[in-house]
Amino acid sequence: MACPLVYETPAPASILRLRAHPLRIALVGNPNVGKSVVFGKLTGRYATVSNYPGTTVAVTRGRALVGAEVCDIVDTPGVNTLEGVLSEDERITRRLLTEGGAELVVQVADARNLRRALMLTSQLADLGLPMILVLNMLDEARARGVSIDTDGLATLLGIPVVEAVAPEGRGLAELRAALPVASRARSGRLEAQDHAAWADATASTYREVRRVSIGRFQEWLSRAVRQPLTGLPILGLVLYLTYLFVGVFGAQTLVGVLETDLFERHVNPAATALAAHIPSGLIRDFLVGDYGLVTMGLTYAIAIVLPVVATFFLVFGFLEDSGYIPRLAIFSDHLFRAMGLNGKAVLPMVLGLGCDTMATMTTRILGTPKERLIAITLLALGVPCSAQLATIMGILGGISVWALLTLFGVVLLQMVFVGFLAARALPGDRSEFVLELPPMRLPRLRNLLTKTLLRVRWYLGEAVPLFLGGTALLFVLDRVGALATLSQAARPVVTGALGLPAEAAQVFVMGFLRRDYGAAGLFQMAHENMLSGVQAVVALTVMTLFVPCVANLLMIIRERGLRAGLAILGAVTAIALGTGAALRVVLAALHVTF
Amino acid sequence: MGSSTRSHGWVLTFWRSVVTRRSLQPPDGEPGQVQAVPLSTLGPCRRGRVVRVTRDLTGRAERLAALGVTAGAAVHVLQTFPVMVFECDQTEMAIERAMARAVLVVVDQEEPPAC
Repeated sequence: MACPLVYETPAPASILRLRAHPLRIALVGNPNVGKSVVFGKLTGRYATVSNYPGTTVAVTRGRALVGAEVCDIVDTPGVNTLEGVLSEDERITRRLLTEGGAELVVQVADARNLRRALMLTSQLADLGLPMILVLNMLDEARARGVSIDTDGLATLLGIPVVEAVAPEGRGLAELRAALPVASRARSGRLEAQDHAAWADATASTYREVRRVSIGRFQEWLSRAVRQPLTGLPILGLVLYLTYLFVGVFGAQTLVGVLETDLFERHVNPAATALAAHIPSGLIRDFLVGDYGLVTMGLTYAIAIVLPVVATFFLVFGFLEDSGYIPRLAIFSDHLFRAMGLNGKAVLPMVLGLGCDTMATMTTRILGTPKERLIAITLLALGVPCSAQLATIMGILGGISVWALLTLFGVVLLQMVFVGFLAARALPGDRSEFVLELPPMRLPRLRNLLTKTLLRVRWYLGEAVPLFLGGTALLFVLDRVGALATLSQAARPVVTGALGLPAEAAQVFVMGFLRRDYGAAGLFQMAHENMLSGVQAVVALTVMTLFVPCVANLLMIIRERGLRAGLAILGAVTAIALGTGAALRVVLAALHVTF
Repeated sequence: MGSSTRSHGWVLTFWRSVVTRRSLQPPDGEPGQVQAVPLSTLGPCRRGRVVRVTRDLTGRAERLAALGVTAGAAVHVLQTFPVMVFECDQTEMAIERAMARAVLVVVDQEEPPAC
């Protein structure tokens, strides 16, 4: 059924006209109301869509054709307010609206939460920009017994009010049609009345709520995942299923197929045969030698890391879209409080399992500069990104579950310890914990696949060139004899303090470029039986505690400045090596073998 | 020293109880009205209506207001451990106890159904 568009034509003149630059339209709204979905539908560009507040932390731009005019569409981070105490992403949106970044505002609202949406409408009305109100998620609102008098609301506000179910494309044509007739909203708020009181009164007039069940299973699941007695076993089950899918199917079955069946049997022999025609031995070695672009760089990137990254992104996307991840904040709040954070920090930490660089940006959702600094440090220190997580599972999954638990136990303890110290050493306060929990939903297959494909494409575009560049660097270092010198210099630490084979030194050099690249080197060493179980655990613990990658370091510097970035790099490297050395001593003293 | 600390502690406890009792008074202080209590004291499944959110220097009231927790909003407590989870309007949110103490609500008198 198509959603009807109901609005009162507010202004005779069209807002679209000949202008020096395209009309700038900002999509504004509370967090998790579907702004990025509307953005994607209008521009044809995909902006990451997930089922939790804080997915969009930076402004995304795209172009859309409205009638005959090209418009710039700006997707903004979700805001709860534009006045008073503002978070970093709220400040970004407010600046955009008040400093000429937008000439027209499309407020996307969750139709279930009309009262909250109207609080923002009232604040947007005060800015005096022409606007349109989109009541999104109308299907979910109706399922919850919420019905809205859209016609009445449009008359009251004097702006077009569009009903929509954006993921299905319903209401988007009506939104396009309404853009030319957007006008300034009149909230009719009395001078003495605050935004909340006006929103409360307006919502009571134009909305009716009947108490209905949203479905037994959905209600049960929503309850079960947040209550400790059922939620913790469910968390254990989720982790175990993730391990089975990523660690066993991805890191063992798929890697086996790609590495052994494809690369060892076909790609590498074919590349070697082709390279045999090249007269220069140097170029031949550069392509298919020990540090060859194909035999090492491409094999690591495509055969070892790609399958696990792809399987991880799929599981991760499913959890993101289901609304499960924010519910982990309920169980982790007390633990994070000991580290100077609150339960909300679970979002960047879990996102870090996908990509630490993106997660570093997501720390903007945290309330204070102190919290952001602690979270960024902990991300750099202990949260392995998808590619590294995958190689860890691939190596240790084949040794024993205890090896895996030892590594994660040590890394977690180290994070708690560092967080505990940072919470007491750094000046500033922790903000109080309050987090909106999105509804539990069955993920849409199309969004899940699109998101996974885009993330895989991002991995291929960003990580693979670094893998190849790293291999080229190793090749050059090897040729000029610097690799041997570096290995020699690192020997006291690598073979002495960490008790690893001398070859591990070059893997740590690779790890400085990207942790997952180093971990892939360890994967290869474990594959060739060059590492014992204990050595694998020690080496991977050190690698996990390193700074994730060059891109992450640059992002830390961008977010917190050069001094903080270098301090984090120094501290994290010292902690990584110190923890590895201590772990080796403890495991030896306890006569542990894996 | 020990006795001084004890007496100091007693004074503090007494002062807190006075402050708490004052904050439990109905907002307009009229006798005979239903008493407002902190949201943190409500058990699971209890429903109520927000009367007032205590302001402080951290902007707590503003943050809650932005999420729709303002005077007049209907609340429904879903669970109280490990953190409080409640529904305000149609939004489900998790909140730490200290923050829940700042939200004063008038509790629905009817016996709550299982939730």
